Amino acid sequence: MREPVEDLIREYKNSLFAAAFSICKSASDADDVVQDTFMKYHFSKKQFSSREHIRAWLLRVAINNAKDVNRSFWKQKSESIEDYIETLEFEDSDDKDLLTEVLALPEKYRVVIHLFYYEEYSVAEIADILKTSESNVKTRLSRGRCMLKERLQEDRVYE
Amino acid sequence: MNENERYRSLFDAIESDSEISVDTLTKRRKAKRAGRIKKAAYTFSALALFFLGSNMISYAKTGEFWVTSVLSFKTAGGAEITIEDQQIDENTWNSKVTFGDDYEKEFYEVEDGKLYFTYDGEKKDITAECDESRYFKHEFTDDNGLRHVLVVGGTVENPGSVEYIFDKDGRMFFSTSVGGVPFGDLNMVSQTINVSQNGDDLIVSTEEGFEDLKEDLQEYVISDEEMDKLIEEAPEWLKNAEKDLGVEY
Repeated sequence: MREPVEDLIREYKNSLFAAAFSICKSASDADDVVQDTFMKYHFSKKQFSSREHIRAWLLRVAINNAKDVNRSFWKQKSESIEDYIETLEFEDSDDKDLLTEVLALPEKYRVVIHLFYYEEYSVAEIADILKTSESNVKTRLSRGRCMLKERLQEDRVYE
Repeated sequence: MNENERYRSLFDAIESDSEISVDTLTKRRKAKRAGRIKKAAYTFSALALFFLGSNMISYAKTGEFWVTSVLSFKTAGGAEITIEDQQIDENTWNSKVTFGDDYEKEFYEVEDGKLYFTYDGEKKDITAECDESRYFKHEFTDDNGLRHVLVVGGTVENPGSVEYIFDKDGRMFFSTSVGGVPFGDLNMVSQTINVSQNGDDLIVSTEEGFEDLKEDLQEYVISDEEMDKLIEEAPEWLKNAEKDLGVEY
């Protein structure tokens, strides 16, 4: 099955942007990743088994692209993450610090934590998306959560 | 507010403000495609020919079909690469190549107008040994008995590197390169490339991560003329290195 790309853009644009941003830590790079991801879907002839299959595929492509951006020379053009976070509007004033701490985690932990908490995927589903083992996902999730809690408790922004 | 809700509220504040439509996707694709297909084709055709060569060795050794061989090794950059070969029938071979995560590490640096070879803790000034037609070479044998030849060539302004890996019979079966060479801008990260031959047809297909090339590579049959043209576009230092090492495509 295929879904019109316009529908997918409407439904998943911000979700993919959040995933890409959590890896790239740059809004302009994340925008590029999102557009490249939808471009790949639109011009691919790949068939999917379900809407959920499409969502997981889009996330996987976006994550791979974002990792590539991080490794690329062109990453050097990216803007200050602190300046960008200052432009965001949060419900809780502590959230700016919390987001800063989340983004300070190593990439491999950020990706797993994002898929678990934001996309609400299970460990098995994350393992499938990242093409890794469930035990690896569990380890990264556990270590990432510990690191995050330690940092947040130090800053007293997390209860 | 639990952990999930707290995390979600953070990223709910982050929204993309870019306007994306079919029209913008089409324009983006046209802009990105120029110049990349040839480079990719050069890479995969080179890989395919050598993988197919290794498949044929497997067949000759066993004398029967449905042969599968698996070879895992590390490049000098630290990338884990696994090659799984299978002969389907008399005329059909498949090779599945899986690239690991650590692919970005290079073994040269440019600093203060000089070109350095940097590998295994060594940093050697090779500026005088390299130019448009000359190269520097370093060899080692890994734990699997595979011979690795690291080549850096080109000028300080436009350097490049390539790693050739030879099997125990002296046959070059794998190469990878970074910068200054026709396929240097490809980012091979955690993905699988399938190469197969059915009669005279050579077919290359990829999974996620190369989707922007998939349409062109999925059933890309590379003719001898196309292959010759792609090799002709390689820089002189690379051609000279391959000639000296006996590398043939």
